[in-house]
Amino acid sequence: MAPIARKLVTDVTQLQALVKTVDLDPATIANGAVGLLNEVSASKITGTEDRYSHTDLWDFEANVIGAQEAWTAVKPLVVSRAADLAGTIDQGFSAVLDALQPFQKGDGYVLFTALTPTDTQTLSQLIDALADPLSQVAAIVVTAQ
Amino acid sequence: VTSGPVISRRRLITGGLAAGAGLTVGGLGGYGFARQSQPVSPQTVIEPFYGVHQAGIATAAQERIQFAAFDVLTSKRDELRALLRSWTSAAALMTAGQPVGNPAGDPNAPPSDTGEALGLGPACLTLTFGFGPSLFGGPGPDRFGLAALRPAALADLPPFAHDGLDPAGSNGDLCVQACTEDPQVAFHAIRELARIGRGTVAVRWSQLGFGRTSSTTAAQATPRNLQGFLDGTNNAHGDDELTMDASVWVAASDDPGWMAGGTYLISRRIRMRIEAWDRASLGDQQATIGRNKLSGAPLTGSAEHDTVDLTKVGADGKPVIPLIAHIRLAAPVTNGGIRLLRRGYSFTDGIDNQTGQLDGGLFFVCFQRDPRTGFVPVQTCLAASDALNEYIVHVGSGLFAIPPGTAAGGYIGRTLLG
Repeated sequence: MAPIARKLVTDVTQLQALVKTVDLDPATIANGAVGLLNEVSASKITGTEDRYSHTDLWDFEANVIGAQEAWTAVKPLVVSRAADLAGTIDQGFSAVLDALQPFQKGDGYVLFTALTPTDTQTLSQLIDALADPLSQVAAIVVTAQ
Repeated sequence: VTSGPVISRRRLITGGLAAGAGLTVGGLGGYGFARQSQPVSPQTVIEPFYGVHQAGIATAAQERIQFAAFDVLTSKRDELRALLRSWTSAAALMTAGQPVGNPAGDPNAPPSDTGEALGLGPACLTLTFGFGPSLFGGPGPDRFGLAALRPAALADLPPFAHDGLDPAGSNGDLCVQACTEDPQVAFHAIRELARIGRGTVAVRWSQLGFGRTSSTTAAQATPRNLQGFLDGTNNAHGDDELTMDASVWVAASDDPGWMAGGTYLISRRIRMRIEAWDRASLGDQQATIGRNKLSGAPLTGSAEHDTVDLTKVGADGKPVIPLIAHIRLAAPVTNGGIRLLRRGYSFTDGIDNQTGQLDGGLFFVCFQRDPRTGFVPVQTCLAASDALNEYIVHVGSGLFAIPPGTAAGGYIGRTLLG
């Protein structure tokens, strides 16, 4: 396994360097945030992505935090043009992260297999409720440019 | 007994269509005529059951489907043959708008027709029967001594990238496709066939579809699917005999001989990630499909039926129809000229219990002369790179050999079972 692990580290380091060279426009960043939430919706809240380790909630949180970072980057362009929308999105992130709290365990989360259908439905619908207003952002930041 | 089909016959006669054609108004030409002439409702139109090919394939796509796959419970070939004889007789009656028995006979016995289709008319009902790989031994024992007769073209489908198949909602020994203009007529047909077969077969899975997503004749308008796009613009057409003979019907020179005049059906229950699609920008949606959402025109044209120009490059130096756009990867030219007859339907089955999201999408059905050179290479290409994969997942799958049709007095499956 050691050669594979070394290759993984090399690839990740290279990816980190390459990402910094990519020129991102605000609309791409906003749509990227929606894309991260779509991933949660499609494969993390269904337990399919980590079907063997069941660590889906770790990835769930990472995607939400990533989407929040992207949102923070474009938020100044939105606040001045659509303050209500910006408020709704901020609340949406809080609601999702608050709903994850009860499932925290140690420095991580409970396994996906511990979740009931009611739990996954609640989390899934909070993701949808956040991603929908977030999908309005790209059109706003395009006109802001 | 006064029942629906009598009424529908009267309507046919008053509509002036029955003369000379008996009661079997329909077929490709008759059906198109019935659709275009206002006085005759599709509810009263009979699609002929008997013929060289089974109905429900070249037939202009009706608006509704109920599809059912069955497990055969018996291992006796005689009982399987008797079932197919009974199903054929019942299908001939129901497609003519008649009950399969007496809905109100002996008060001490259960009615021999369940009654819910009385008065609804034939409603263009077609019933199409098929045999799954497991009937021929498949992975299990060869219960009916049919292994040597299994068509090579009925090879198990390979696993495709991104498949999320539910085994309980896939495959089956037998299938019945009921297509009609009236959902209750479709339900009645499947229910009666399941009732007639009880003890010999059990329903393995069933799918209801509420709106056709393909036009299967040149005269039909292209419908929209649940993503809001026109779907099936470049579909093979059932009234295009050259294409049907080349790409859909099994020829007499193909192996095995019992399949001559038949075809192969593949069904895929394709769940759409509707919530994610609904928050994709219009530009992303159009780039994903490769067509304009409102007009249905390819991104290289201005009208729906404009030729798809896969070579056109935009001002930004990129292909106008993106390299992973759905219509590029599904195009016959991308797949060695393969044409499939698609006959899919939109479905919804409430919500997904795990996510609370809508459980809906496309119940894809296609027919071809050989799946190994039809659906399999096209789906391999789509599963590998289609941009649409972000918004869909295949959750059910079926593969069935559709034997040829039968004349009156015969039964569907006779060429296989003798």
